[in-house]
Amino acid sequence: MQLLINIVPNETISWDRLFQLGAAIEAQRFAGVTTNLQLTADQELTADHQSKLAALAITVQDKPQLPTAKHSYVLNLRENNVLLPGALAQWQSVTTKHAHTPISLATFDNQSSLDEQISDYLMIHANNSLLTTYHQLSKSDSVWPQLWGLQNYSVRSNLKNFRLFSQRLRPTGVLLPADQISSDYPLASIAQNLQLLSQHTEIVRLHVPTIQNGQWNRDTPFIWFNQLQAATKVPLPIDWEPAFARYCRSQLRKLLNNTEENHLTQDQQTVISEQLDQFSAPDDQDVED
Amino acid sequence: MFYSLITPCLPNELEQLLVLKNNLTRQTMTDFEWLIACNQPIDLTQPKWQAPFPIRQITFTPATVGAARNQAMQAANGDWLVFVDSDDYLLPNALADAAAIISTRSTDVLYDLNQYPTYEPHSAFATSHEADGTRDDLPKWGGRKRNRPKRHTVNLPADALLPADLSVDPLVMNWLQHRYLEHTGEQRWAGLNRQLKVAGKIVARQLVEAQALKFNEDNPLYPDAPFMLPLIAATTSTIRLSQHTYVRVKHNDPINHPSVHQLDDPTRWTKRVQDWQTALATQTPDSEGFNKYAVRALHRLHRYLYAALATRTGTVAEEQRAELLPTLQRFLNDIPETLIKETLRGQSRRVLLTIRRNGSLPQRSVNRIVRLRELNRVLHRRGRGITKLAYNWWFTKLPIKPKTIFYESFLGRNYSDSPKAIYEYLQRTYPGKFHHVWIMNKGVEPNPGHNPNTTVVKRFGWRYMYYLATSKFQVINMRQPKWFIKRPGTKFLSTWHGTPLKHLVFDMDNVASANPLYKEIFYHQSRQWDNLIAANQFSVDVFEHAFMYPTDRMLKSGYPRNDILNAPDKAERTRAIKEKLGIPLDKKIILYAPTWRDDDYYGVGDYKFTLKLDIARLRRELGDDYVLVLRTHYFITEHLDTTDFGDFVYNESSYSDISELYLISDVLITDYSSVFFDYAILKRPILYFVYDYEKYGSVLRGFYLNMEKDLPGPLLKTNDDVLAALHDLPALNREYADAYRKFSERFNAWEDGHASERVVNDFFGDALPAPRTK
Repeated sequence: MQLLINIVPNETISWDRLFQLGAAIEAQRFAGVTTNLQLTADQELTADHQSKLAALAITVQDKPQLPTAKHSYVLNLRENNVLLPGALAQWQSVTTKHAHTPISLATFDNQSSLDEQISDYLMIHANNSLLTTYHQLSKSDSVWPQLWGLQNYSVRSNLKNFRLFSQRLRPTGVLLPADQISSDYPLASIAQNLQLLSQHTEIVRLHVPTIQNGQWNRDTPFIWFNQLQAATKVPLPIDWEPAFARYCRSQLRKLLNNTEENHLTQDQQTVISEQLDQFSAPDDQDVED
Repeated sequence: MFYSLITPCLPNELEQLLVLKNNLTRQTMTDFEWLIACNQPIDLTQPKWQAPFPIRQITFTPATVGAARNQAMQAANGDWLVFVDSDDYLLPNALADAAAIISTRSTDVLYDLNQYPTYEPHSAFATSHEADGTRDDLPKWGGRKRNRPKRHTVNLPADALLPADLSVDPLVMNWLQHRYLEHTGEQRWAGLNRQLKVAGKIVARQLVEAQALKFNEDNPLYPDAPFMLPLIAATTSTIRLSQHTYVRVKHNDPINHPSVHQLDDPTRWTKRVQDWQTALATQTPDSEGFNKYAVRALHRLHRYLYAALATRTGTVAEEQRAELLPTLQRFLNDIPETLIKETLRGQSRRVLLTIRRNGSLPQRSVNRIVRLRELNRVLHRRGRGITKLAYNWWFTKLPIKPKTIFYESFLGRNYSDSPKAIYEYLQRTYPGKFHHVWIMNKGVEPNPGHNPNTTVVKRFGWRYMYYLATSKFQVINMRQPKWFIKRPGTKFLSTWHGTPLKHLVFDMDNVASANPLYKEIFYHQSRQWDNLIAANQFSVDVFEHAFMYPTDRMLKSGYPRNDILNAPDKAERTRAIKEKLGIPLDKKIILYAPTWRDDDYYGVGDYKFTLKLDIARLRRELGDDYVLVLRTHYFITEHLDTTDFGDFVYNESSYSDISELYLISDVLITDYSSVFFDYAILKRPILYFVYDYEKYGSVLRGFYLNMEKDLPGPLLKTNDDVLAALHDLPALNREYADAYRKFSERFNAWEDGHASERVVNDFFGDALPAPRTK
């Protein structure tokens, strides 16, 4: 597997987190991975940043070169995402079996402590036979082999499932087959994922988290709105259109229902409301679970 | 380490054995020998039996699966015995993965390759699943969980490098690369049903010999438990690979190719209980194995025995009970009464204790248990199924109504097809002589409810159940419900619904139906048909092998539904139908009736709902003389915007009777749909627009007709071809005159407009009064 990890930083870059992420990628000891930092026009690098990035073999390109090997994937991440140990080895196992299928990754949330989340996760699965088998083999309380031991995936064909759009369309945390990336859309965008998924009949879901990720609609709500708006321009098969429109409506409502939490300005709320009016059907009652 | 693979082979299994041999050659390791226990001679020197591993044949007596396995075990050289049945498959990594685990463990462990049960036939593996090597692409097998997404474990790659600062024990690393589930101590007895199946298990030969374990040679149906139960007891733990590596092919045709478990043996219950008794005797009373196995057997009795012995639902014949009850009594006496009382409660406990005490069956209690279970099922489903219960309990006991006829067409979806033609013929010829009951779904129009002596009832409603049970005649064009009871004195007519184009029932290799036992169910259902209508000799021949239906019970009459196409007043009818649909009388009609392709992959822009026929061009070039009538899947037509085509396109996809659309049209465009058999009666041109002919290849292999040779019209792959043909239909007619004639002789020789009359006379016979004189 060849993998390009494309880091799309937040508006204000957290350099420490970025270097931690770079180090975590390097620590995976995975030969086929390249890492790129995709800066916006107003984000600049100091000489110190440049040298540290070079030390971590992170390129800085606005339009990164996509890997061209047979089984190549692209993964977008934020700089404040966390890559868990052994993640790439697990992805490789799945991509070997499903070489050209997008893979949606389960994630831990970046709003709470990773250690606590892992501990809770293992607690929930304490009765899992795989975990009990592990405990018969090892007395080590290292959490990583336990997570690897629980890892599993499923192949899903319900691509238009409204409730699962959020985990599949988010620009970060989905492994995208590189040969199906469209140059018409930004690499890290809902539009990119949407065009790609709408061509597919199935997606793989990796069920045990391998990254710690955020939520775009919560962390950067107006960027999320802009992404949704841009994605409405993607030409879709007819049976996708109602499903995606329904999803957009529910997301816009969600943004408007949590305006304080999302720190949306009055102007932004007005823009979102106007967009929602354009979307809404008269007796529309979409609620995302 | 070295494996001995043991495969018992019963008569007539040589062919599948060869398929298994080919499957075994794909194993990623070859450190094994294959022992075939088979009494039929096999010439292993033949090239087809050559393999990268040694193959030996062992003969055995008596001729039971148990004896076959025992004698193969005696001849085995391997350190480890692997049990593989002749109709099953191993995934290529099965033996290597197991070896990687076994190498790190002791010999007192029972290994399980993890069975994946499926009803897909051998061919499915020989083509798709083995060809692409996708290890998780195993087919759904139709069980209760068939719609749930399957979870597959992720093993780490063998060459995976983990973070340098993490140290992982080599045993754990081996486990992460070949994951398995281990059950030790008491846990070994969990999931006993799975553990007791020998297929796909691996065990050390040394352990088998030390424990002197043997399969039961005297029980032809159940040989495993007396081997497996003491084996589990002798192990310290059981290990099951977390990925399925053993594919157990369940037979989808128990009528012609039953597996041992599907054999129709009237003494099956007795043999089952004998097996439990033999297995239990291998365990010390009150030991863990004894108690677990006894509880399992009691639960099975509780769950399955009563329905088999109840008066109404019973499957055990009276003469078999005489053997079963003493066997059951002996078995129950081997189990302590306290254990029975701890395991079962209520009536079930009382029934088994009664049998244990005096060997007699408390029939009334058994009947009561079965009835309460049926009632409980309905209550559990909040009343769903209550009408069926009433059918079973009461309606089928009411007197039969000798003048009532029950009609159903396409499961009540419309008023159409041959049941409609038969009904209308009876109404015309014998007015007031019968009570006609039509099954129609709610809101279906047109429906015959306004006609005299006709009652319309909703499918599966109270009145439906009442008339299904009490009508003397049933006329149905698909299948009756599985639970339908054929009462003595009633007559069932299956009209079926078309000349077969795609392979049916017993001619199907793979059963794509929701129920994997479709063939068996169909077989039993079709035995309830007193008569089956055949439209032509071709259908007679096909139905004979595809339905296994006796030809002397077929009505070789032609299809009643097609009488309209030869009706003397068809010109008047055509005019009336055109007026009803608002089609100008001076326009000719192209009928476009393609099949629905629901399994295609469509790329971006290649919308699922786009008709490939270029309607705009048809209108441009032919709009002055023709209109287009669409008859296709509602999903296509609902998404098709026809506003640009004005009065050129008429969407009649929901029109109830397609025969009327045939009648008004001047040319038919179709593809892989069987509509052309009927349309050809009109002797009008037929075009086959098969734009995806190459892609449809795998489907065409399942057709009775050779699409290249047998059709009365051209296969056209582009719109240019279709337009060219439509522009010069006379030339087409000339070119295909001979093919058309042959086709008509083969398929429509019996269609003379009097099929309804023949069917009614033959089927209703003596029940017919003198016809009304005009």
